[in-house]
Amino acid sequence: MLSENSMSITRLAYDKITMISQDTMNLYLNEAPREFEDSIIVERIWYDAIDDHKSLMYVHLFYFKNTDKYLLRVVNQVTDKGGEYFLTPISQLNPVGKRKNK
Amino acid sequence: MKYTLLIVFLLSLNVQAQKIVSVSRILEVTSVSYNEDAKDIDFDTIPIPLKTLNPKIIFTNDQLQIIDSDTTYINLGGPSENIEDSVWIKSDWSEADLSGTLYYITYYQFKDRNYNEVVIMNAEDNLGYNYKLALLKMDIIPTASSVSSAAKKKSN
Repeated sequence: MLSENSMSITRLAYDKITMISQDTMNLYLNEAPREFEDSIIVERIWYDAIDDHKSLMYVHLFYFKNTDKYLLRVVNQVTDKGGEYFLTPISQLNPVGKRKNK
Repeated sequence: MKYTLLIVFLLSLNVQAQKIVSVSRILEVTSVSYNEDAKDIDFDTIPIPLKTLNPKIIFTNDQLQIIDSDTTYINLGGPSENIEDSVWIKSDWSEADLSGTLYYITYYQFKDRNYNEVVIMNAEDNLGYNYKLALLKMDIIPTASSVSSAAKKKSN
């Protein structure tokens, strides 16, 4: 779970990104992303994501290794308009299938 | 106390046994039927509307789960018979079971397409569905721990 500020949160999952800020917006990630990585950044790009209204969206997720922060860029493919969200991790669940055995 | 420990042990065995093999987004569903005369499957071209925006198919080692609002569990009934050629890897389960009914399941992993297909056919009435699937990758969100463990692997 990641927070953009104290009032809004964004949940990142492998199949869905949920952005909660007064109302809730879902982005359904319909494919495995393209992946890029260098010493500073990890980038994931989903080209076939859709929102709650079935509008096709580009979703770019950047993870900055040095600061442990994220930048989420969401662009509507028809209007070419969108937004960028700077995110700070507030908790990270264990990845699915990698639960620690006690 | 002994029985409680036994139940916990058996439950933990069950959790370990059911391992997720893949998760895929359902892109499209169409009806299919087996044509006895042609000895081939007839594919309907009109898609069946999906119930949600987040439909998934999860393959575990022994079960197929179809999740779209509700969840359908199909027990695979044993290992698959695999055939590979230049176009696809085809996996067949001929003894799958959905609520006591025999089902045939065929999973096509295409080599040159960015989607796969799974055909689920009722063995009694020869009717079923074809699911067009896009493979999703779990553990894809980078985190501080995943990045550091990947860096450790590289250095080793």
